[in-house]
Amino acid sequence: MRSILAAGMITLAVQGAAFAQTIQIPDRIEQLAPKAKESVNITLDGPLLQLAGQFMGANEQQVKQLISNLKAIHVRNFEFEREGQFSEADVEPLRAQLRSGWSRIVESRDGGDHIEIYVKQDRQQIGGLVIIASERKELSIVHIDGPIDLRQLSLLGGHLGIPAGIVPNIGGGSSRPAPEPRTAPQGGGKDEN
Amino acid sequence: MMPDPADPPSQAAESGPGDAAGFEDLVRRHQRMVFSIAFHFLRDSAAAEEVAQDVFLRLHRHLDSVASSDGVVFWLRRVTSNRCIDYARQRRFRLMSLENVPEPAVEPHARDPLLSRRLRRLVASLPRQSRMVVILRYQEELMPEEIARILDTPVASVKSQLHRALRMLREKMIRVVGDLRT
Amino acid sequence: MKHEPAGIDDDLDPAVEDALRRALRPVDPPPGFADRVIRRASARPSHVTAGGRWLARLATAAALVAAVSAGLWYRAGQEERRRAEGEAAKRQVLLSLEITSTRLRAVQMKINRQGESQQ
Repeated sequence: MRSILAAGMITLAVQGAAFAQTIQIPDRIEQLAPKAKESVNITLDGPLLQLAGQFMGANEQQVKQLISNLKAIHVRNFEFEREGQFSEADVEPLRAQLRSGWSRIVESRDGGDHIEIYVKQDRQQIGGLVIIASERKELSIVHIDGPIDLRQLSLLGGHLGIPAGIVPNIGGGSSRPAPEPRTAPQGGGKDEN
Repeated sequence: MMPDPADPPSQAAESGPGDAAGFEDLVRRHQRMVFSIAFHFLRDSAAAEEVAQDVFLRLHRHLDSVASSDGVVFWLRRVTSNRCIDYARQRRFRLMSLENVPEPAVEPHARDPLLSRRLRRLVASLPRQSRMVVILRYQEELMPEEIARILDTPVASVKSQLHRALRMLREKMIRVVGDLRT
Repeated sequence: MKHEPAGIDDDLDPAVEDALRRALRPVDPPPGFADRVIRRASARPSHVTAGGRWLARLATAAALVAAVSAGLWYRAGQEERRRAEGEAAKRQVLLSLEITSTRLRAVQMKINRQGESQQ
């Protein structure tokens, strides 16, 4: 099976470059924080990313390279005590920003779980990545702004929990076929993630 | 019996604040314990150092009322626990770090450092009181009765929190990495 | 390893407990922690008891020592603060990438399962 991102990259290869504004995390999402029992709020701009890179150790040089050209990383992760603390309406202002210049390459629904992955094309490479992931009691928003090399991301496979096997097929040119992703245990029903 | 840290200092008039060498020895002997409780609870090295420093400075102020070395350990655990819980309550956004500073030495037989890292993150996501119960149980290897004394909580509550927390952690870990026994 | 009397922890999963002991192993504080604590403690006024005028004099002397060394400490502190900021930023980067990878892995696994179920 093609990796999910390989499919997305082929889609991008036939599109022209599109102008896309920088994504802003909507106020409706920021306002979820007081309702959450646990929150993660990360905002890293260029200077902070550069500073972080200076403190990467010898075994983190790939990470340093990955983030070296990024403009920003934004993460919002909210865990709630009960269901029903957020809704699609809270996320819709973010989706509205992604309708121009972004391509949704993956959407997965499974029970109460809903995951979307958007990428922004910037010439022949990915210029940004947005992940919107919701479960019944958890909402995650990830925005990586800047040229991100998903092949480099795949090289971190096995480190930091980044799964091996997500290899992009960027630009539509000749490339190695993506290695087969690891499959779930037979008949187990348990999520290896 | 240790005085409550919130109580006014005792009137041990001539004992002074405790000699400097004695205090330094206490810091060096117990810094790992105090910092680790704070770090595993807060998952933020800078915050953990801030809390740990505060704890030792309070100890310095109350040193003249310390009765024994056992009393110091109990006192440190209690004050560290209370300070961590208060600190976390005041901070709505907490940064759950991935890495220890520095990394603990990985034993040759360590099965999965990523599992440990995920587990630490999951522990950090527990409600504050349960989180501290888990840390005192598995970092400090304390029995529920001792934990109850430190946190000034009924033993039954400690046991109940422990069971609930472990059940929650087990469920989340199975979702993340599969059966821990495999 | 502490063993609970029978019946109290029958529900506890030994695998989870062992994993927790490994994960929550004590760690060393950052280098220089003890020195920083001792320096701060010696710079603070001592607790003055009823007959403790000499403590007040000691506190004054300690404060003077602290003042004299404050310039050096401040410069060292600036470097420490930069290091702390850099380490914090690094941890944020790594956490961001872990959250990203967790979500990517989750959707990858779902698609794999859907693909297997369709075969």
